[in-house]
Amino acid sequence: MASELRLEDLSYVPFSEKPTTAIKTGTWKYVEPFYQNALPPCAAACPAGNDISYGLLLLAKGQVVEAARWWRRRNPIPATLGRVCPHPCENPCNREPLGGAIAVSMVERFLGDVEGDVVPQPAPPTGKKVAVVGSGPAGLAAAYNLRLAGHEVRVFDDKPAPGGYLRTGIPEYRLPRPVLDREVQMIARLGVVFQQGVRVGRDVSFEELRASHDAVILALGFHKSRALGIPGEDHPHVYNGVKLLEQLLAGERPSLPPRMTVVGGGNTAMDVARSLLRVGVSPVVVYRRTRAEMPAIAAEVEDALAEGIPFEFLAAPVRVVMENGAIVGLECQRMQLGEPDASGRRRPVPVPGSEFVVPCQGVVTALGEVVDLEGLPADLGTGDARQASTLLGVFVAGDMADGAGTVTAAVGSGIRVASVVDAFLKSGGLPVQAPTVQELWPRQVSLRRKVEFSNLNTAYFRPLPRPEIHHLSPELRRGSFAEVVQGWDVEAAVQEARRCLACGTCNECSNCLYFCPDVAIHRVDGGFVIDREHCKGCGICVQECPRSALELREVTR
Amino acid sequence: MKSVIKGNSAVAHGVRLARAQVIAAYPITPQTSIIEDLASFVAQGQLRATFVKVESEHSALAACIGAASAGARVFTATSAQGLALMHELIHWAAGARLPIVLADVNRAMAPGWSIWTDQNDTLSQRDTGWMQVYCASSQEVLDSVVQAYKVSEKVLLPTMIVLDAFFLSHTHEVVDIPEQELVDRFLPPLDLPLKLDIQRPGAFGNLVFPDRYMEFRYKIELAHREALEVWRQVDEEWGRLTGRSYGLVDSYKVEDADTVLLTAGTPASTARVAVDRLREEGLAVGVVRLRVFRPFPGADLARVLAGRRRVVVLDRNCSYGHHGIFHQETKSALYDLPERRRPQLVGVIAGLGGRDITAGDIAAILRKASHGELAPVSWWNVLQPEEELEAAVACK
Repeated sequence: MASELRLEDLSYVPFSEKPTTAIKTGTWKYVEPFYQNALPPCAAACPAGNDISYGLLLLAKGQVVEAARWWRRRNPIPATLGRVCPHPCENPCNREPLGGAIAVSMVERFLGDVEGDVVPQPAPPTGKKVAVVGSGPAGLAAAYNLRLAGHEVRVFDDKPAPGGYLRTGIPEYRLPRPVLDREVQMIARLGVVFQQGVRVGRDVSFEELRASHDAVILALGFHKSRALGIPGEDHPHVYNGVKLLEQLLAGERPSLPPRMTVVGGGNTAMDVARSLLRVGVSPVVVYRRTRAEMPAIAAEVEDALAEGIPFEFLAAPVRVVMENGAIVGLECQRMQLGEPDASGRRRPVPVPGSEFVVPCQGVVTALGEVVDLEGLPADLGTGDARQASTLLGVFVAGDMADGAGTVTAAVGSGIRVASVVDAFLKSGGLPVQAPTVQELWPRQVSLRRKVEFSNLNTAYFRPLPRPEIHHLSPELRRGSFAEVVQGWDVEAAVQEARRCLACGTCNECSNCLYFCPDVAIHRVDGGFVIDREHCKGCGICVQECPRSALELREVTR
Repeated sequence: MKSVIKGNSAVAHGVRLARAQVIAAYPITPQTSIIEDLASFVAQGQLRATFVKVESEHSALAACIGAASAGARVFTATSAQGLALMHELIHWAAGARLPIVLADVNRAMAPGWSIWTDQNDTLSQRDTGWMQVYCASSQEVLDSVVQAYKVSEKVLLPTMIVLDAFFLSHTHEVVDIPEQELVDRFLPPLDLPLKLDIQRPGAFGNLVFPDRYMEFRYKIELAHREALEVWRQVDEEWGRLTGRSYGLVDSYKVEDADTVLLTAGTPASTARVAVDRLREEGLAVGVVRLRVFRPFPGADLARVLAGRRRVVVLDRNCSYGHHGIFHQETKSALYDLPERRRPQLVGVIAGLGGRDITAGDIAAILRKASHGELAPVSWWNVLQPEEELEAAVACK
């Protein structure tokens, strides 16, 4: 053979026009890559289970309506949540060190406001009937998801209009009513029947309700204020914060004293104080711990401070001070912080002899709320891991079930209970436990693997600053319930979506394909495939994936 | 145009004049100012090239290999550990027959850490198939870079241009920087016979079975043999254009010399001063400088050294367990001379890790050698046990 070959016939350098595919390099590997989307930290932190990164990915591509529809797949009130949610998703955002966390709530708000074909179609009718008691966020989410599953859903609520605490407890400057009304209408248009002004236990008995439905979901929420428990509390100018807020938000303008103390450090306290400011009252907030321990949403506290509302921290009310039958002040005792209590926050301890008076002519209590179970069986319980009560076919959702205290958590609770009830209606049985909101995603995602900053290949990300979010100037807020936070237009929202790193979420950037030294990655409709015969398991694609959407696994032969 | 520039700047000007199209390099002392100057040429539009910043020397040469495979004229520069890190790809570049030009500023290998000069870094790459040119002045550096592209592209072998750390890289000298037009006449654009071509997909450096491999290696050897002649021609052509040529082997006052010092790099310039001094003392001494080391100009060396009484090879390097590398190589070149014309050969290892080799040192070495007082192999100006010193003198 060598004798037939002449040196001149050989090129000066090894070169072959035959494809190298004849060499099955795939047989060399002991590990192999595979495409596997993972859980972004934002979604892991979202109590409502919003699939944030995928929604932003659609938006980044300019698919605005698709993104809005994706967002509404299980969440019926994104326009509302985008305004009122304390966005726990933004805290662990991996974009943080590269210009600041993605403003997810602003994008959610934008997507929630998108008009058009954004609501999914309900499944064919199942013939099953569900009663949802309470039209707050948990009830709305449960109703929406069960209706989408094809069930007949009726919502019972004792207030004149649906929305529960969204309507009675959240001021318009945070949540304009047309926004809430539109989202309620979207649910109603699906066929959910709202029976307002009906209180279960008064207008219809619980047993009747149970008999006429295949399942009942109780989502009553926390509306009953806790009492102060101090002398003088029964004075007519000592108000229940929840009730006062409900009145003010319904447009009533009762005659109020010019200066009032608001007792409490939660969202109700902030909403009351800021609403009072808007109807011409000078509020003072009295809280027994410090700003750091306040359970209220930080942004709300910041807004209250920006509006010039004074805070009296480390002060606990002792008695209402009266002269000639009129309130002249609230006597408080100075506190100091001691050992942490069950909530993990440091317990306030009174400083003896430190009493002082906060001058005021009225007091509002906002000490936290509890559920009002009047007219319902006393032994329902607060629900087990499946959110099922002690009675078969009766379920609980929202604050009643978990007391989480945020609209977002209530939406998540409603979504989860809907999934349990749907399974119950279809099979007659109950799952061992309610699924997590992420487990209900239609997208195949490895929920075990949460994408941390260290999992990203940050060589591919430039720092880009988080955009400004404009707030109405504090001067314009007095005497007005106009919305404080200004929304974004489509351009701003798309721009922000493009800033998203899409952690664990393949956005078809093609880095894997470009870097594969064996040309073993090919583009197909909707993603990529790996040519297993030639992939030799080097792992470069996994390394070069900016967003950790590929994994390596051992090859077993 | 005459300018006062450093050896490193001379490299950069050579690369600029050769119109390199892709430069990929990683900084390392004492090479860094070469690529800084080039980056500046690129940034200021004086050189239309892609400057690729990389994360290691291995990647630098890999990028050069890629670009050269696509037919680009490429350049990289490095020193010591950087060159060692390139080693795998140093072999690849030669095996792939890519006409890459690399400047290595000779720096001693660690440990102990040293940024100063010696030749072990480049001599460790001796058997990779690259051509190597050891320079002794900034002007020669610039001229050699331009010549190297011409030779490399003719014979399809890569070239290492070698210059001593600091003594040459960072010393300012007057350099005549040729006009672009002159260099363009000398060096046409690169046209590789076989390059990456999307119209003709193929695999480079593919698997070669035992029935072919040796032929490809034989072709490398043939290219080196051809390169000896090409270097001679290219050097002469450059001489006709600029008045400057260097030869493969550069000699000074050798014709009537009794004892000749042979070395490479800047010590050869220093040696001329020593030779002049010793000539005044009446000693018949001379200097031979090995400029082109690969391909090895063995016949030229033999010709110039034949008939001399003694040759002292000054090595700024050591092949541990044997002796100086130029010493070994010279010995091999002289072996075929008839015994009566074959000089006595001794080797001196000096100046490792940048230790100065002064004119005084060289004069002392030559004086000892002339009097037959040097051992066959010795280390110069180094702390040694007493018996070594005695042995060195006793061989008289």
